[in-house]
Amino acid sequence: MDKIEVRLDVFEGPLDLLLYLIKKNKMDIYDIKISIIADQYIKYLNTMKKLNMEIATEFMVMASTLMFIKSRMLLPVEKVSEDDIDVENPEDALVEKLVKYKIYKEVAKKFSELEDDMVDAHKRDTSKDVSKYTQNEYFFDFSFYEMLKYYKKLMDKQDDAKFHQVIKDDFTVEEKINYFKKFFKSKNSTTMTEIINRSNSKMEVIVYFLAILELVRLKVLKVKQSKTFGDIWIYKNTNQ
Amino acid sequence: MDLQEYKPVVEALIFASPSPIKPQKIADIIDEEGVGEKKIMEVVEELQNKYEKEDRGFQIYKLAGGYEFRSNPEYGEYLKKLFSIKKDYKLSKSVLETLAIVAYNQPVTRMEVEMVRNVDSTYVLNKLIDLEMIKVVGQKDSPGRPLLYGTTSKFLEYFGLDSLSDLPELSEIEEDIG
Repeated sequence: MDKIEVRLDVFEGPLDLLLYLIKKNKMDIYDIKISIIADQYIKYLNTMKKLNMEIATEFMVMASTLMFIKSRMLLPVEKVSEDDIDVENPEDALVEKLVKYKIYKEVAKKFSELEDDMVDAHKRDTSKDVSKYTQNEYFFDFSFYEMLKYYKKLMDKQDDAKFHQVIKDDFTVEEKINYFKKFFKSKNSTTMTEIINRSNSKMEVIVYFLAILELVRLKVLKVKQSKTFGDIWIYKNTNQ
Repeated sequence: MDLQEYKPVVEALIFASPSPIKPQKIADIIDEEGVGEKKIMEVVEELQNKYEKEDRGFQIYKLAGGYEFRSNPEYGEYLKKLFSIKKDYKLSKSVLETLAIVAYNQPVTRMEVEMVRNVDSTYVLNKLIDLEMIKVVGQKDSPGRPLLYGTTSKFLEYFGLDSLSDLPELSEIEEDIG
């Protein structure tokens, strides 16, 4: 197998990567050998995977487009009738996209040159200019790998010894069901207020309530409320 | 009064103006028969030539339709020391790219930007808004009424442009690619 050449740059997106591959293979943007480019593109994604880098979905979408075009080329060409003429050829569509993107990439370069020209022409009112631009977090100028390094450093700083404590549920519905079963052996009714008073926490009230609902469903208990927001009475279901 | 006599007035106005001052505004302030926008532009040009000939430490730039004094970029290295700038902070590649798409297609929606870039651009667009390089200029009359973005005068100032018509010609760039 050929050695995989890894360029340690980040690509802005799938189109950026494609343009790089086209340039590397010294191809004309209007005359791309899709099968070569597609293979290299996928090789690149695999390398990224090996480096445990997350691959953005856009890259995957482009991979499938490339495979689609490649597979299409293996099939015999269908005769295109006049009516089908507006059915866009995916290869042409891709080239069109690449050209359009490349234009703006070039414009961005021109912008960068303009920026270079202006960066040394300072305003008198520096409060609006220099301080803002120099301290702005958006004006970063370091590579992806530097970023990765900082990220790792940050992660290493995290105290590994600090574990998250998982708190055991103090109350279970099952336990409360058993409680009610026992309770109603000797008594015939109770109220929600009483239950709330008996509880030590909000969680316990909730679990009590869930147990009541479950018992009502099983027709062990019955509940009644005389008016809205009134107290809830809980009875033993004697019809059972 | 002779136009020459207005030279220091124009100079003073540009010098003290907190933001680029438009030639029309200068003409309005002077408020004299026969002194219009055009005459002001002539005066400024004379000033510009004068500064250049004398190799002054400042220049007059035409930015976003108005005039502004800027330090002569030739002496940037000294100003860097004044402002303790260790490194030039430049816009990142993705920011420039997105800005280029907005500049040439405005008003433009996020979706339209993403159609060109093939990459999610929400974050970059928000960055550009924070930097005041672009702003929301309206909503498109299409399903979902998406926001439309356009460039600001700050954008022109930052790149040293007088107006959007000073942007590099797309057709020329296209030819270079072919």
